[in-house]
Amino acid sequence: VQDDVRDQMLKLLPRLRRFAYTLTGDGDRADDLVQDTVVRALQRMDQFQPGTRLDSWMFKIAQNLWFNRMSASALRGPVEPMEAADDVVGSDGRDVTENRLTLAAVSRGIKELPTNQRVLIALVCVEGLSYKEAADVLELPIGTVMSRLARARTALFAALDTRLPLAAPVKGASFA
Amino acid sequence: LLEFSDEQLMAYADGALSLTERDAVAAAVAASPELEARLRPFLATGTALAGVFDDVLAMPVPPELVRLVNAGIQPGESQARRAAQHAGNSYGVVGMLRQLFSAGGGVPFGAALASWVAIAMLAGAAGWWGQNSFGGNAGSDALTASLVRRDGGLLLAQGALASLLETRKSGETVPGPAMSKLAATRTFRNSSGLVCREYLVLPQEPIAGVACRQDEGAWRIELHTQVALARKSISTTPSAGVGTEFYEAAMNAMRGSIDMAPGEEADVMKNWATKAP
Repeated sequence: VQDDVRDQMLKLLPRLRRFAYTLTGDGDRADDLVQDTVVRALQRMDQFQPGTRLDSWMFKIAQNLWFNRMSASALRGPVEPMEAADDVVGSDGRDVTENRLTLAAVSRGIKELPTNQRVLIALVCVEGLSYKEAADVLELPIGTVMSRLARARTALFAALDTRLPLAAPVKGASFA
Repeated sequence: LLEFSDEQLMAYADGALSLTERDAVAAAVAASPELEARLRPFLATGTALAGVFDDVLAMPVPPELVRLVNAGIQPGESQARRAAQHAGNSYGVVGMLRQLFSAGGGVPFGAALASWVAIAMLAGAAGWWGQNSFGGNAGSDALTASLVRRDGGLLLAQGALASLLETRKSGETVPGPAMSKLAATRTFRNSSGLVCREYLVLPQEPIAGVACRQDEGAWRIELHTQVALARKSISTTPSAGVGTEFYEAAMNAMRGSIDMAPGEEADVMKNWATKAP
């Protein structure tokens, strides 16, 4: 592995963990997923094209691994206890935004979404990829990505709103 | 009043619209409380969500991850193979078995397995379904018999299992005989260059296995393991010794390569479909 790619990968680890955490909602599972993702990425380093985005490439590997694991779990039936989201790191209820979104509440809300919506929330809303970049990661048309993401966010908002009424309407977007 | 789709409102909330479109949406939202209400979910789930996960971002990265990256695995190195084994064992068939064994309270895989009443290895000559030599019950034996047939000294997939391996992408679930569910969970090339797939069959007594596609299109069963949870017994085809590591050993012997990406798997399967035997 070339030094610059290695440095990039080291810098990427915290975001990769955040991505894995958004998907799994669980610290241990997230670290397992990150570890396997790193191993896979190092093995496939010859397939990485220098000059392209390392983060997108590794997110792609991570979400493939996670999808495979989720489909195996789905076959076995539900195994994740519903209270799992309460064990999340940092779920001390501290206010994060004026909307009082907490990690625990958001994690639980995300866990209720179908897997293909969860991954979009993680890529776009949490990791800040553009719709186009997310479409490339998932190998989907951008239209599919946008409609799926819009559904995911509407559903997530409804779940959060029920459980934890959002205090005040958010005022106009920051760029307005 | 202009009509706006949810996708447009979302793109507006994310700052992803062109200037002209942005102004149009802003004006419409200002004039319509209904539109503003539809916009709210997108504003609330935008960058605000990233902030919620900042705690995770701030957590120290486990040192073993840093070491892993610094070690920088090169293809072909023994370290790479060990790492690949690690990755493989976390998922797929071996992962499933680990989870089954540890479901009863986190007993380590090895210890749990050692405490089992019987681990029966089926020799090539002894039938899975022939002598009932491993104490299986008639129902699950019949299920295996409907999915696997003997051809001389080989075991080959048949029926729903053959069709699954040949035509279904990994992760897709199909109904099988006797109320079972079947799925292929991963696809890889073994060291001989054959395409191999892991599969799961989940009735009450789960089956996990690996089959490799021969040149003539038949799926040769390399490993077929049935777990009888209630009786704490495992039945498996030959190819590995009895012991806690038997499964890993068998898997590692077979896996000469890493998993195919979904696109590659789809291409390979398309190729089979066009020149079906």
